[in-house]
Amino acid sequence: MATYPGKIEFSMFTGPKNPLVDGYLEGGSKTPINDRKHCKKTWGISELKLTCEGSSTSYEARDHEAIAAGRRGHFFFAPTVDSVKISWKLVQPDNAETLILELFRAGSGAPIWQRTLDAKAAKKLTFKDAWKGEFPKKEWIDKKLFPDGVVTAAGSPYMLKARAEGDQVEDGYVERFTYFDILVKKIELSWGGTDFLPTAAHSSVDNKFKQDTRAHEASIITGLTNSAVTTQRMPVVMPCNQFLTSASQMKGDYLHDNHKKQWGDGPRIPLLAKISLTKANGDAVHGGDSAKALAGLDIMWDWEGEDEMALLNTRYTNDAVSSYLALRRRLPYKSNEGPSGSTNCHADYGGKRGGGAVFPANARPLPNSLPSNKFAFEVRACGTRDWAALSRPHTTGDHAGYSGVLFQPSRMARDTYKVSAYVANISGAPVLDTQTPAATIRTTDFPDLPRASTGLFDMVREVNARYIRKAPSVSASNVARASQQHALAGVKLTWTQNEDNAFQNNYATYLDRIKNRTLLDKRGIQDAKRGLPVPDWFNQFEASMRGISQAASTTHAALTIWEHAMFKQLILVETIREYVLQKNRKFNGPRNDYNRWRNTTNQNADDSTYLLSFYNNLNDNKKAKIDQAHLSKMGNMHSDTSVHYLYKLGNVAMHGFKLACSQYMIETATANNRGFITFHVVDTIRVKNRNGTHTIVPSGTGGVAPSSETLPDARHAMLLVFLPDAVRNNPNNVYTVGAEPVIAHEMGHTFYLCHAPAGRNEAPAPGFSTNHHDPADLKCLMNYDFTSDHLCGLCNLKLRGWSLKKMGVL
Amino acid sequence: MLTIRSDQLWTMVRDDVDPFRGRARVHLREYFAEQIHALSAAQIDDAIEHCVQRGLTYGLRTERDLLRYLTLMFVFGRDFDGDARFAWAGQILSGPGSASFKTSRLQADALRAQSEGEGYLASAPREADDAAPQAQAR
Repeated sequence: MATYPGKIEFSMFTGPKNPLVDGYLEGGSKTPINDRKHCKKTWGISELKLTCEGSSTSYEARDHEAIAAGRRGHFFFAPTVDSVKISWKLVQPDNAETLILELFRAGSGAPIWQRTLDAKAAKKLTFKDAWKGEFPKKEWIDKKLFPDGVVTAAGSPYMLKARAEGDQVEDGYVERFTYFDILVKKIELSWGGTDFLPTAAHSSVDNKFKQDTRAHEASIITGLTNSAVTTQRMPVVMPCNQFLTSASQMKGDYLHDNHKKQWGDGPRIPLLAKISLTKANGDAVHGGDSAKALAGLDIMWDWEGEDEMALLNTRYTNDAVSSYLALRRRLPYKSNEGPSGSTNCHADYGGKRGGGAVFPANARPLPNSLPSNKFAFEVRACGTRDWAALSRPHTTGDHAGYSGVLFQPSRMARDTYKVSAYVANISGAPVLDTQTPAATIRTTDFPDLPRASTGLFDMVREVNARYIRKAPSVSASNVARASQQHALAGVKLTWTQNEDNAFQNNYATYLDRIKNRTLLDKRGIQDAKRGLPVPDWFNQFEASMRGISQAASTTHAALTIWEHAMFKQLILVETIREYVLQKNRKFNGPRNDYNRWRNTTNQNADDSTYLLSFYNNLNDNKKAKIDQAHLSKMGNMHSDTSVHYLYKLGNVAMHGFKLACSQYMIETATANNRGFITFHVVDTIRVKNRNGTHTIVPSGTGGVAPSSETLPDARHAMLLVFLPDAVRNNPNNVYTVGAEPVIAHEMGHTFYLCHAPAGRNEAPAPGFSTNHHDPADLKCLMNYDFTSDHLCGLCNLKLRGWSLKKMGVL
Repeated sequence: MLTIRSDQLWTMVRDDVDPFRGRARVHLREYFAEQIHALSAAQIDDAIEHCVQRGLTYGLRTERDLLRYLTLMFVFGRDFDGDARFAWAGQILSGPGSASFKTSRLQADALRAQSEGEGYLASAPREADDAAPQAQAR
């Protein structure tokens, strides 16, 4: 165990032989070369002391007992603040010749300062003025380490030596020396705030994201500063609204790559250390001229991380996940690299443990003006403790007495960092630049070294999500609960749920756009080519809903459509109408009759009764013509059963709903609401029967995450859910789960997760991959097994931002 | 008034200097081994005699003061006291104060300028034996 301040002994002030130091003391001063008889008049120095509050001890024997470590027995003061009296006593002062006062710093044999007093000055036994740790700059020999002409904490402890020179100096009274310390009293950590954040984004951020990421860094910093820097747990929330734009991106390292583009080497958080010195009376003093005594002082910035291995059983209730993270050694990978106990993502997998600067070097401290594009403090990497760094305080200016680092944790979610700042040197020697665990430094090796620590920074990836219900009758899903598995992977879903009305009010308009082929494309420009994927579907879409109000508030289903018989009749009526109204025919009686009927008292009437009656009165030949046209118009739906009809219209409705939702997303997308939208509808179709009653058809689709609808910036996406929040008691249900797990599953797709393998008796999800999931875990939410309840271990790591490619699983 | 020139003073004390010369050689070997290795015995003697001669003119008489002067010669050059680059040295040596006061004051400036010193060899006189054949050859 080493105590601060360290012990003091004479040997600390010796160094390599120097002819101008050691050689300079050689040769007898009483050996005249002409062998003159020596004068009887002798003198010498008998005591040298420093006084302020207490006094230092004067020593004459170089092999004196060491002054023990700790403040007891040490003389210390705060330069520029405390007034110290330097005094000496002479033997036979009347005979004094020359007195040399020399100052030595720990670890060096050469004096750093020297003053030669002639006999007259030597006899005064003290200096005229009290000493405040400063000497005129021209008297300093070591001007590099003492640029301000002030003794510093970095050079502490010091030896002040008085040496009698001349040819009459009496043996035993040639030199006296005394010691003193300049001590750091305390370090206090605080936020640097946005003023210390460089004005430009970090070079590791992709150009596409630079402006946003810099703004997000400022938001993170502002958010953090609302709490004390010592707050036990502090989430560092990185906005990460990036979504897949093609289903093929689920099979790759896109999440890692895109996350890296956005956040580069991680968000930058300026941290400051306020350093106070110890006054002679034991009090603390900070800033002002006293900061000059901090020149050259190294503050070591260290980090520790949580050992997630110890948390696995409580964090992940599912053994398969714990097993993947622990037994397959993903978390403890190369556990001997980086701070002891940390299971943060290793540099090999894209993180910063075992490589990557958490406290990036900064060569040139800047003038006081802020903000600037350079960080304001000098920072350099440690030599042995390769995850830590050393910074230097400012000694003058606005930030005098402060040091700081631009803390840059990795971008990986669930990585944790506790930052500590220590005085790095004891007795002029770097004592902390080792691989010793931080806990050992604090509790065993250097328990009373001035230091301060932050709380635990917890890296979080944040995705914004908007939840919109198609109708008030859609029972709201518990989206927070649907987000729990993603939260375990370090993805914080921030939901807003206030847009139901806006969507519902425009829903019918969006459906009209589909019918009229006036949809907006993803850039917001009207595009006649955009619409349902199959040409026939336009007719079916329009006809199936003809005359039915699609006001969103009327139903919790995506569309209300006619029953099959009515649908067929509508097409038939339409065919009859076309037959009746056709031009260029020899006999215009039916058209005139119809127009007369229509134009007199039946302008707004349903004409089906009129037209069907007209049809029924036709002869077979004419009926056959209409039937032929009807057959052609119905196409392949003519022979459908009601079940087939509903199946096909379910598909059409799902696509129609998707297009309507995407219109809303396109119209409302701004830079301020990036994220994905979950549109919740309970069923795809509600069937209106000819007699006016309605039938609910259980949805054949649980949900979709249409990557094709993601906006070109990949910052706005959507997913659709077609299930009730609570499972309905309906024997025809395809799905035996509610909306929540489906939302979680579709979110996974939006975040680049592909389908997972399932058990032998389960329906395989299309395109499932055993490479992108833990193949031993068949209960990953990303499969089609309704009993799956968690994201597998590999999903967890992927969502954190780890590189699957670097992990070697792709 | 009797005036004793430095060369006359040197003659007077020459015999007493011999013990000092021995100690000076030891001193040089200890602190400037590399430079001493490149010098002949005659050149070393010459350096010591130059030290004593120049030292006496500045009032340096004790062994310590002369060794200090010798040390400065081997750090900054044979005639450092007249070298404009080290003007501080000449000013201190020619200034007021006792011999010990002067040599003590020299130390701080010497330490500050130590890295600028080029050593003794660059300014050492060439040996007579080397110069003679060259002269004959002309």
